[in-house]
Amino acid sequence: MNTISSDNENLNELKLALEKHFPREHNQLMPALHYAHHQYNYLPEPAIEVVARHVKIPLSEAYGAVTSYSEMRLVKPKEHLIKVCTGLSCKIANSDDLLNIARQFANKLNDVDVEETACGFLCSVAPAVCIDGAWAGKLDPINFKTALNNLTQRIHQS
Amino acid sequence: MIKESFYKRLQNQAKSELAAKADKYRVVVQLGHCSTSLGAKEVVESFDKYLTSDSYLVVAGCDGACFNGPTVSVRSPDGSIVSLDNMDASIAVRIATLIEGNVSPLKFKDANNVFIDGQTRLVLQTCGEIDAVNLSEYIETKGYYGLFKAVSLSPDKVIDRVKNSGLRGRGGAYFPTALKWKGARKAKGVNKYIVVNSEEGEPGVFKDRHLMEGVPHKIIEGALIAAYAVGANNIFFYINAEANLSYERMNLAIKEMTSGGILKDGIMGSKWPVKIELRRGAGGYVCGEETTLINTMEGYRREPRLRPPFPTESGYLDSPTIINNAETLANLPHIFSSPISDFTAIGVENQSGTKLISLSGAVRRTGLAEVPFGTTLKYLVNHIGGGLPESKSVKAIGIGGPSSGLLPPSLIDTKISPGALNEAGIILGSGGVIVLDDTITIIDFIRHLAAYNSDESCGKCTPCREGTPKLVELIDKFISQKATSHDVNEIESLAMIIKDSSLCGLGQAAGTPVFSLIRFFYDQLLIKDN
Ligand SMILES: Cc1cc2nc3c(=O)[nH]c(=O)nc-3n(C[C@H](O)[C@H](O)[C@H](O)COP(=O)(O)O)c2cc1C
Ligand code: FES
Repeated sequence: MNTISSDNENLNELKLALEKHFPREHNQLMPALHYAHHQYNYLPEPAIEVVARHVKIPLSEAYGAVTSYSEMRLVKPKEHLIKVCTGLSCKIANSDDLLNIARQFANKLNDVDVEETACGFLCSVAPAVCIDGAWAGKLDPINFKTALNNLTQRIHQS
Repeated sequence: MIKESFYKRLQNQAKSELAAKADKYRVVVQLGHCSTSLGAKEVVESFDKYLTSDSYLVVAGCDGACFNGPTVSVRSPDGSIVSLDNMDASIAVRIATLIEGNVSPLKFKDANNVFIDGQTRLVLQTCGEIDAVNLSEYIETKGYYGLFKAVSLSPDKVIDRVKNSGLRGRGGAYFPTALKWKGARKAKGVNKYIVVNSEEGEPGVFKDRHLMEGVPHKIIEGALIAAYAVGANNIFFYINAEANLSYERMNLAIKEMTSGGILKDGIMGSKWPVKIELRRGAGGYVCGEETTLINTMEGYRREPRLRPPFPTESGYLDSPTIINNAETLANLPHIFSSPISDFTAIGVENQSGTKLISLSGAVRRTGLAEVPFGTTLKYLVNHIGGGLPESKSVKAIGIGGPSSGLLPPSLIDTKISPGALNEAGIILGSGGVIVLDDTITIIDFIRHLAAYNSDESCGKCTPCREGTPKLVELIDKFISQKATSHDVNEIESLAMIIKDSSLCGLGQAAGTPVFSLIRFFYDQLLIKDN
């Protein structure tokens, strides 16, 4: 399990922000979690604790809720994320090829994650891939590789 | 009584804002989730850079013709319009140069639009044509007139009109909207809530996103009508966690609507106050199920509740709650602003109006299409969708998203309406249609859906939690050619048990793919003892 560094300061900031934006009610659990998730790009356990305390529920209950939602990350993600849609429309449009390319690409680098997703809601322009939050449709292996080259350049520049 | 002057004032406001632009070239770029993935954002940026004061840029949502985005259209001061498909950023400088030289951009060839022209567009009317969030553009196209008409009636009369329209829920269950509203109106409770269900976490379906991105005001208008009719002072827009553009546009449209004075003196001057809040989902198909959605809103685990009590009696914070799909609500402006017969004349008996179909797969033209209930699949696939490329043929049509049943090509004359499809054992649901060509192996398709349902089962009830992975195991037996005719009985009865005993619609529909496999594609099953 990851923990965040310099957490005390960060957590205090989170606590103050929650107090400012969210009433201390049970029904504010998800909005508050979303807020925390947005700050860290995942939910470190101490942050869940702060949220739980804010909405006045036990940590166990908050944790139980968090784990039931697929968009809530409990582990710090790598710097870069490639999501390949392997839903039906994309599969038919050969998304497996794109997935292989993405995996090979990520194998060579330390800070790139590859995930499959069940639908990018771009079925009408399949196959679809999302690189660091930006979706691209109608991809073929050639323009996908170009997009990955651009990502490599961004990684080297940073 | 609401004064006629209330709406007149809005109209005048809109007119004067738009009048300043009337003699300019109007350049519309369709920017939605789908076209963004094809480079539409770069097109917008490029127009921003090159257009001069002779013209103005409008950012609209997508019209649904995803297959040929990004789409740009230009209206000249004389009113003529040219529409251009498959554009990229380089078009901006070309158009800007023509406009500057006073050469009509009409010299471009207008796009051929069978995909759009073949539809009946009530909900999608103006989608892709007007600025997505701007209030004046919406009002210019009769926007908020339906709401104005509605609040001029008593709440009971509003519900009567919805009843007479025959409107049923487009979220998948086709429950009569007026009946639901009546229940909540009668229910005791100080606070009542309207929840607009735009979770749309269903693979293969992208209709609500198009509406939120292209005509957010229609959904808002519908929700306000609902709030007035039911007597609710709170509206929640519940939007999928990943649908960022939808969220952004809904948020902006709500701000435009409020600052434009629609809620001054209550909804449209009705003295009925309303508070609006946006909420985000947090992932998972089952989040869109109405009782799960209430759990999420209250801050509980992602799992359904037992019904009864139904949300109309006891929903969010134990108060009467109406949960309606975004598409359902987007039908209301038309129902109130036009003669009711305009609506009831469309569709089939017991199912009036249109349905948004998310069309994907092997057809030439894929995207979002609006068709009257009762339209044949053949028309959808061959006319609107343009059929399949030369060398291919239809092997099956999958209808209903993750609980898709498969129809064989021999049944392509089946009508798109819950009734007609139910006869074939298929659930129209929220209108996902995927066309499969002859390169697809049916059993692989069925396995894909079964695995998805098993992954998405929330685990609360045993039949769904234990049964859905077992279905996958049995399907694998067929794939590895180890299945016997006994396994056919086994899989069918397991699917039946899951259907009959699951807590929510996810499990209840999870067997549909298997039933259609056995009913229509039995001959494609490899069975050892046959
Ligand atoms: C697994 C599952 C997922 C659902 N997802 C959605 C959804 O994303 N959007 C939606 O409007 N309805 C969804 N529904 C249907 C809702 O429970 C509910 O019937 C609907 O929102 C009611 O609105 P309507 O009467 O306007 O159709 C889902 C149902 C189930 C069983
Ligand atoms: S299946 Fe890939 S976007 Fe829907």
